[in-house]
Amino acid sequence: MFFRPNNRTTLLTRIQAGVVWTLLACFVMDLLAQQDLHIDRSRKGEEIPISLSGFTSTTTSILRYDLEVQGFKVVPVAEASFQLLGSSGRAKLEGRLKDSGSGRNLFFRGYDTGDERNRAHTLSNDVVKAVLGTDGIGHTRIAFRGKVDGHWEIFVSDFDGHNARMVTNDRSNVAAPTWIPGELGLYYTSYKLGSPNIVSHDLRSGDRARITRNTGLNTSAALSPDGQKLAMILSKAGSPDLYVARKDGSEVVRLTTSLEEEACPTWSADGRSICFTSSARGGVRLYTLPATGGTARRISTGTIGGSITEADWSPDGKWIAFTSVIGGRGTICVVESSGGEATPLFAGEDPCWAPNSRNLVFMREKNGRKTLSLLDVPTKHVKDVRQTAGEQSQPSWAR
Amino acid sequence: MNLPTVFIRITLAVTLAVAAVGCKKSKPGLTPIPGQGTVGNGYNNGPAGSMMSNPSNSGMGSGRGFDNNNFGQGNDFSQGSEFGNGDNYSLPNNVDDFTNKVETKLDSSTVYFDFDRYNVNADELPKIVTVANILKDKPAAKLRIEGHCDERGTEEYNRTLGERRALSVRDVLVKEGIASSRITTESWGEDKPAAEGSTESAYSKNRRGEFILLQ
Repeated sequence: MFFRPNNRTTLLTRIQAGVVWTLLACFVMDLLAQQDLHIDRSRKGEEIPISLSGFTSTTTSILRYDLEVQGFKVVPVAEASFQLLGSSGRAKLEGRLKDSGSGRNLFFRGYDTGDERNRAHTLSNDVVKAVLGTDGIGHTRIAFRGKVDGHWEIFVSDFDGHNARMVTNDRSNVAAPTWIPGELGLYYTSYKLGSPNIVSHDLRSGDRARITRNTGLNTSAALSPDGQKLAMILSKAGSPDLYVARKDGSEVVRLTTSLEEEACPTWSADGRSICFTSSARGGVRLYTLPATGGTARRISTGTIGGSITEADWSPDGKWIAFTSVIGGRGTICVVESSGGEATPLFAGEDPCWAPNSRNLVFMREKNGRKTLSLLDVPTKHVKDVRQTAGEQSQPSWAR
Repeated sequence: MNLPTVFIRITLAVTLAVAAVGCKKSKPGLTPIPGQGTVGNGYNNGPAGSMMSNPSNSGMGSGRGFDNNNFGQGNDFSQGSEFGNGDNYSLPNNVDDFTNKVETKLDSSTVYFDFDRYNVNADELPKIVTVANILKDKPAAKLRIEGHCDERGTEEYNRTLGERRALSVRDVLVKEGIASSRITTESWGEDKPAAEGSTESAYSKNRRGEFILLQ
């Protein structure tokens, strides 16, 4: 009888539902407000204190690396806003995240899949999700070029440099690897068959295909976020210019015609604009252009000068990271994608955003060798990527 | 019947029920690892590398790898049509014209550049004229100009700067009467320094254009 559709029960049900939703909403809003506080503080560069206990030393070091590079700081329990507690249960790894303030458990989960690194990365992702509400970078990958026996080859590794694989063995020269969005595949520049040309490389099969086949320079491949379009620098018309094509290299359209050089294209999140470096109007500066062609518009970097190159547009579309070189010294900077006063972050070159639009991977020289590091933009924390080759540069973060 | 009491009771009951259902999810114990298969970039979280094959191990040298039948779509842009000023020239179409040749480096003709510049200095011009004369004496020969930079500046910017340097040298040769179809350019950016070290002496030797005669 309860669900008999008469006016009284309908009204009753409605009121009931209303009250339930209100109570639920209050509960959820309370949780969200606490989360918002942490998210807000974290965005402003405040470290989130977290304690780790009960884990193996290997798992602890992985968790520390993952969390500290994403805005946390590992501290003693007494100073921690959150406590991450390991326990030995049926699963190979168990983690409980406790909010020190409320004493509430935010989650308690077991992790059985993969090796120890994999399990720890999954747990760190859960902590990031629970505290910051964003997807962690624990399972992301990077590609880069590494120097082996005097030749640059392409490498792929976990974001922290572990599990690195050399995926070319051409003993020629390669440059500018970039991921195909959402796929286990790369585009890069290869010198193997004569002049530098862009190739695609399916990392599952090892199959490669030539995307360009021109004399002169063919480099700096950048795929649009939907993976369908390719921006690149070609010199076939007599000067290095910006071109776009379909991802297979067909239907090539030239977007710039200056005698000066254009370089380093990167796509906006909506795929409508391309940001690139040009010296066409004096200085080496950033410009954006509609991906279908049109007039280039200068992106101001405020008081940050020098040669402005190697732009990388964040996946959320809000930021452009770039390198400013003054007197041979590079500085990683970020600026709002509409332009403005850029923020200098750290000494280095060639920044590339993580899928979270928070972390950057970049190259810096240590003891005269090119090495890769990760940067947490809000806190400016830097962690070294594990080094496999003698020198490593031109990192690209899979996203 | 006291309606408000019923409402409160039912509301409480439903709230508790919902809460209980909600609690079930966060109840201590083992739950599936979240994010499997949805993390990152569309591949699984299994051991990295297991899905990656290395072309060097999968027969790159024995025919796998570059598929030469699978290209050729990059050249359909009508070259040079957008130039009215005659100040630069399209590059030759055919990559193969410049491969599988006997290569001779013309060492004494290497052209040097100023920092971050690609214009050819007047005192470097005689070297290029010498190369033009060699090409006039050997009408079948072709030429590759390699552009290089010092290590200052970022890697991909230097790759375009090196290309711009090679193209500047090429433009001089064309003005000296050499057909642009005989000349190709190849930028190495900062990847192939002539001199090691981070000194101005090394830098000045590395900012250069080299001539490779192809016969």
